[in-house]
Amino acid sequence: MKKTDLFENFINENLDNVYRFAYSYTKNKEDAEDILHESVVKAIRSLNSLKNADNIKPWFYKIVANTALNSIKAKSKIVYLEYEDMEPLQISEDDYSKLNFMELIEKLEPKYKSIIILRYFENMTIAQVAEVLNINENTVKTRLYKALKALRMNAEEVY
Amino acid sequence: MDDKLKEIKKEYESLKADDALRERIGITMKKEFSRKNALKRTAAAAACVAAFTVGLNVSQPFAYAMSNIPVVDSIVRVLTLNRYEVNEENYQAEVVTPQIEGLLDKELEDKLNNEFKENANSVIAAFEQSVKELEAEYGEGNFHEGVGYNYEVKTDNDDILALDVYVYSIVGSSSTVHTYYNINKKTGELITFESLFKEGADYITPISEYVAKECERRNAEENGMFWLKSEENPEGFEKISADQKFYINSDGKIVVCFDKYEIAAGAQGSPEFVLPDEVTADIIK
Repeated sequence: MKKTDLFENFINENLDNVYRFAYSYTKNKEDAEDILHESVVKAIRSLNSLKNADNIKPWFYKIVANTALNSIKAKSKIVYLEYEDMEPLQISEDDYSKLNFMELIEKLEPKYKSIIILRYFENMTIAQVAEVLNINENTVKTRLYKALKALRMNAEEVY
Repeated sequence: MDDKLKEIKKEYESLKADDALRERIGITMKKEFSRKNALKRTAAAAACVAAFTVGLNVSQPFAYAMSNIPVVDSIVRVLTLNRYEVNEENYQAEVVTPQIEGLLDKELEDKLNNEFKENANSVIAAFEQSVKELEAEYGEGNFHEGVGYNYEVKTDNDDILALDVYVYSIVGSSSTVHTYYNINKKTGELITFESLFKEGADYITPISEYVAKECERRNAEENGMFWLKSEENPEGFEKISADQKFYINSDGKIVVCFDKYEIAAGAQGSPEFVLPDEVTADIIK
């Protein structure tokens, strides 16, 4: 199959998933859609860097993660002043067990959040998570463990 | 998996991309794929231009010989020889062929003019071929294609004629590939980048440092989107090439040029850097 066809199929079949992943960074629909759109353009323009067809999922998620982080960085310069106006979070520090998804992505530090999503919700292997987030596998394991602990969840299934 | 995590996962999975996004992404993919094809063809056309420049540089000994002939008056000018235009709803082309007149070095003049003609013809041929192929693949009216070939006189004074001849694609995000010709009117010589500097001088390092610093400044002060080489971005700008694209502006300053997308996001267009005297003071001939 041609790489372009492979990519088109991948996007058509996984659009919901990649949209959710983008959403976990942006926390709103419009920005998630823009991130995704930009990521698709970037991906097509760098299709050459996709060496192995089996690797398309982590390869594309990596582009989404980088695009989202860059956009958040760019925007944070502008929204910084509004920070004090933000409503305090509804959940208290020690009540993670009643967390829902929206609160999870709101509350958890990005470096923990993405690992939980990729590992458990997107069913990626530790190696794939490491690739997407550009960190080594041991760091993934450590952070996953810490994240689950913070969430008061059963951390035994980490590996 | 932890029950709580399962619940959160369910909630995560209830988030769905809506139809408008699906459609928008679908259209973008189609556009980008056809742009990819168009670029391949444009690149092939641009390759002809590049190959031609190499050929010209070799003819320097002859140009040098010309410099010994006293110049009385030179009326060097650039005219538009030919114009090819297609303007359909979904595909367009504008190919403008320049012609140089009045060079004392007739051989150089003919060579340049022939190459302009050949390049224009190859752009037209690639465009017509591409429209035919796209029409066969996607059906009449279901595709977009656009190319252009044009020129701009950058400098025209007593000393220098600087000409920018460029090929561009106007599908999706447009890309542009420039070729600059700097002609020394007094000698009839085509000026190479290297020939501007003292023999053996390392001109790459100081100019690269200046360009990198200027990219950083534009990023910081002017919301620039220049890509500099770093660990995360190994493709970013590091140094200029030995035969860097350039032209001499009307102030006699060297302007270092890059193609669109070469070192910056498309919004920067084709970036140019006018080299200040202090950068070139030690290396210039």
